[in-house]
Amino acid sequence: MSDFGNDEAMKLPSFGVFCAQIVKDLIYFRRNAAISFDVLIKQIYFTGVEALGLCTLLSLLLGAVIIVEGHQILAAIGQTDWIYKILIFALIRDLGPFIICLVVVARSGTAISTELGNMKVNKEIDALVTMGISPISYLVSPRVVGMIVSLLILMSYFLMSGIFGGFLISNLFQNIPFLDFFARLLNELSLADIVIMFFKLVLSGFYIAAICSYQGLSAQTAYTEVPQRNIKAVGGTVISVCLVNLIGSLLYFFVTGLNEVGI
Amino acid sequence: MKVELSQVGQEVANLIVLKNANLLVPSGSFVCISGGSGEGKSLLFSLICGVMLPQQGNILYDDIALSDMNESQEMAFRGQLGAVFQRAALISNLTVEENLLLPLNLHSAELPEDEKIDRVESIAAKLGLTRFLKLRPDKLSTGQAVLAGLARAVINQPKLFIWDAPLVDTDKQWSAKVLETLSELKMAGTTVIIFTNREDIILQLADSHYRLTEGEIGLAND
Repeated sequence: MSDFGNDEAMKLPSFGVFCAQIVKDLIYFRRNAAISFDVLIKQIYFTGVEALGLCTLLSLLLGAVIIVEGHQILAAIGQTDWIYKILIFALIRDLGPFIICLVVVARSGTAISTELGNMKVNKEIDALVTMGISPISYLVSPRVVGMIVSLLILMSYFLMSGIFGGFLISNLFQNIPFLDFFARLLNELSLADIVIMFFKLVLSGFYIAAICSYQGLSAQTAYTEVPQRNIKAVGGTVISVCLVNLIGSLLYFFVTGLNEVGI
Repeated sequence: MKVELSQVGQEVANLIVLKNANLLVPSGSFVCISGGSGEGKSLLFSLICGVMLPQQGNILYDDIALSDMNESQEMAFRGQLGAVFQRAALISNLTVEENLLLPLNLHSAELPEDEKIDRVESIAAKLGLTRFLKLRPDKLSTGQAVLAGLARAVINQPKLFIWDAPLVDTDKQWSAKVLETLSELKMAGTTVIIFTNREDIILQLADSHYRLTEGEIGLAND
């Protein structure tokens, strides 16, 4: 029998089994690839492209704030070059992925749980099962892939505009050519920063899409369940994004700590 | 496709809705099942469609239960099944045309794209849906949405057709289109199971008429 909905009580499996089914489906992405490609493209467009303006504005402001605040503090202790380390911490390694994920949870995560919740109540999921279309292959997996790809796209906007915002404001304090500013920033950037950023974005993207889909599909027969599922989806995803960020930061300090002592 | 229900029992929220329900629908026959509101027609529809498995008893399709089918057998079964839900259950983020293409793309993927489009346009023209092909389901009236659901169910020329008939006040033109499509299914040798209280369908097309009462299926006293 296909993925779910075929047990006696029409219940979803546990979240762990649900995630395992998504991973299995992504590995053997074959049966419904022809029909789920459109869903993937729509998800990337809605999450990764339509959120461009919001993320660009946020990162410009964040880059500028970091420079303004950081410059004042660092100038007082005579360590203005540390501003690049702070920019990398804020934009690339920690705050950037975290803020992008929160924007996506608020914007696209709720959209996923609402859409799937309404589809469940409207019996559209039953119709898919009847046609032999796996809801996980058709609805969930493309959203998971779309969410991860979108986070990477948004992060690239975020970095570009954050660095540009930081450069513009830093010019108020010291006149520095862009290439020089950029070279100093790159000089402070390590491979671990990039790896941790990818780790956080990929894992957060997976959990945002999986949790929101799971909560949406958990609705049963009443439209009043949909907003309740939304609330649970937002709560669950925010906690998971925080946990992924914490694990990523711990991994970073573990790896860079070992490097520093020469292991 | 032969469908056989044997001793099917189902509870919903600790309420017994079906108990020892038995039914034999021979291949190619046209069966209507009527029943009062809340008697479990939609639940029985979901069970026969294979949306859920029965808690008790078995439902056999050409002598094989869904739970005994392997993945390819189940896909073949799904490809031969056409189901129309009470409120059509069209996929809301797709246009009517995309909804009709969905089963074709899955079960008749080998067909050339032109032929798929031809099939969609042909069934849409027959059911008066041509104007609505590019619209999303939320722009359709209930009657139009049900016709679109009917089109989606028959587009793959199913061997088993099941309809949880709509609770919609319909006009003569709508009824004529529906009756014509159902007659064609009957003539093509499709096994048809319709959950309805509509006398026009029962009297004109049904080979057998059953009634669902207090969780059991019995022959209706027509």
